Amino acid sequence: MVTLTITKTNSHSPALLTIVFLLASLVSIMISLSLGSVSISIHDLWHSLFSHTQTIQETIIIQMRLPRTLCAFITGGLLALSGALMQTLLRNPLADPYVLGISGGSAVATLIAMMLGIVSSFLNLWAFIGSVLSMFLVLELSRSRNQWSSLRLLLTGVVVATGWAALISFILTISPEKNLRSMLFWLMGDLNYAQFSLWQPIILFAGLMISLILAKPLNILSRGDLAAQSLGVNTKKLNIILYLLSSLLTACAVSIAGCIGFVGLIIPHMLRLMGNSDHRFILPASVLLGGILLTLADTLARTVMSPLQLPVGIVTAFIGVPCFLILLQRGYRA
Amino acid sequence: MTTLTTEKLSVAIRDTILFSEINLSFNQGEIWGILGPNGAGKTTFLHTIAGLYPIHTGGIFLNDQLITDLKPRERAKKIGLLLQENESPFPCSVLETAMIGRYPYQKNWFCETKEDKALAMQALEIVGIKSLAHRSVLQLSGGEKRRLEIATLLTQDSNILLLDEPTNHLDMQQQLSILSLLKKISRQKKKTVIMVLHDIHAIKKFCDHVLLLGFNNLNKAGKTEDILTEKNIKKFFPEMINNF
Repeated sequence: MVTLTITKTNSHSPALLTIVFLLASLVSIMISLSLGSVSISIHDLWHSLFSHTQTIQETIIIQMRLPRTLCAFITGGLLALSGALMQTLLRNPLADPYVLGISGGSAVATLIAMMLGIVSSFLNLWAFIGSVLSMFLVLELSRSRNQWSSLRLLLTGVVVATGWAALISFILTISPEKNLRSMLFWLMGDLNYAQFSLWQPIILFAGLMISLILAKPLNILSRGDLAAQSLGVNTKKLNIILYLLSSLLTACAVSIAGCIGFVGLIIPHMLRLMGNSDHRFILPASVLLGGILLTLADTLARTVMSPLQLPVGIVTAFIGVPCFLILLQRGYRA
Repeated sequence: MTTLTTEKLSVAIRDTILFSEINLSFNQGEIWGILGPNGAGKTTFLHTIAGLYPIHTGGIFLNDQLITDLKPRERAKKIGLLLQENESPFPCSVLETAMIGRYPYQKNWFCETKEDKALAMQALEIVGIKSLAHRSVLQLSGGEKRRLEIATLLTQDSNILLLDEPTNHLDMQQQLSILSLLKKISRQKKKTVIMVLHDIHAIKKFCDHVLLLGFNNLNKAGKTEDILTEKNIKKFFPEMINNF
């Protein structure tokens, strides 16, 4: 069993942290809206958002930056929430939303769609279908004699993910060169073609609400199936709900912006390092902090090498790797 | 008066029957020791009477009610189980862990009550780790973790305490102190204690009754002084009789 240990107990008030994250979320959204190829001051931003002046600035903000910023925030929230749920489901601090092959199934479906020349606006539908198929495949394969264990789920998921990775390599090998760039961008995570729809915040909100209802049993489940059962938790039902919920959240995130790494892995750990492992705090805070991280990462991806736009997955990795290493040095002992 | 009864209880792992037709009554306030060689099914038996392992045939009753008919939370209020080992992959404080024992009683989602916190602090004090209340569980030594798990069980406040090797990871002094504590709790609060132990001397000293479990459906139960005889020990542990 891999464990991560906090060496000091520096607990911050969950309520205070949540308020700080809420304010930081607003700040990150404002930064994302104001920075880009055309810089917009906070005053002009405010003016464009709340008074309909029909200027170019307003067009840039409302029609271009706002949808992308919202997509970034929602995707970050979905990934971080899914990561927190997945780590508890598998009782493994190294679990992330992609560990069980959900993103692999999605990637294979999307790459096939790209090869077939399907219009980009339908790609997210293919990604979603691929994720859901992979989710049911892993669920069915991990059942044995109607028995179900998180270890068996993890092993099945990892093996299925490896199979998807091989298929992805195969598709990349046989794909025409003209498709390769867009395929690689999608695999690294890219918000360039993300389209905002109302279902996205609805899914995030509904996922968070369901997770919050389960928060107390999740605190117990993190001690193991048997310990949770002895305290009166119906672990069979809870495990299945948890798997389906975290997989669907991942599927939605992947269908918005491809496979963006690190957010789902590091955000729950950053929060635990702040001294509180209670899921009633971790779950909503993950949504906010995940949203903040991805919004800022996407802003960097758009601006740091402008006019060249980087895939946001590269930026989250650039931010995520040193952040995680600093956390390991400062507070965690592996 | 709470009595846990097994009637013609048979337990099987896959298709192999571990023990069958076990009829036992664990009465309120009694202390039972379960003894037997490794692999005989002591832990499986404990998990079965805790309602966590499927019964092959027969039944387990809490007074007159089948435990399988109880809702999980209702069952947890009546039967508490200390596992041989616990998982703790994520950091959380000692106090938070002890308060987990209050889960079966909690109706308030938002936060634990003052009573929950007071009971958890009291349990930590009883097992001697109150001063560690705000430390991360992942910083505790093996012995401290074991005492925390016992504190969590005490916080659960069930009438029947099932303990799988409660003295795991404890030094000799702590073993004595924990077993004495369990005996004191059983006597003062009339709680039934059923524990798997490997130490015959500890069972003789602390248990009123003993259940010997062996291979091939071999089992024997009764008062400690009647059961822990040289003849029975020879039967259940044939290789250790020379040292008994």
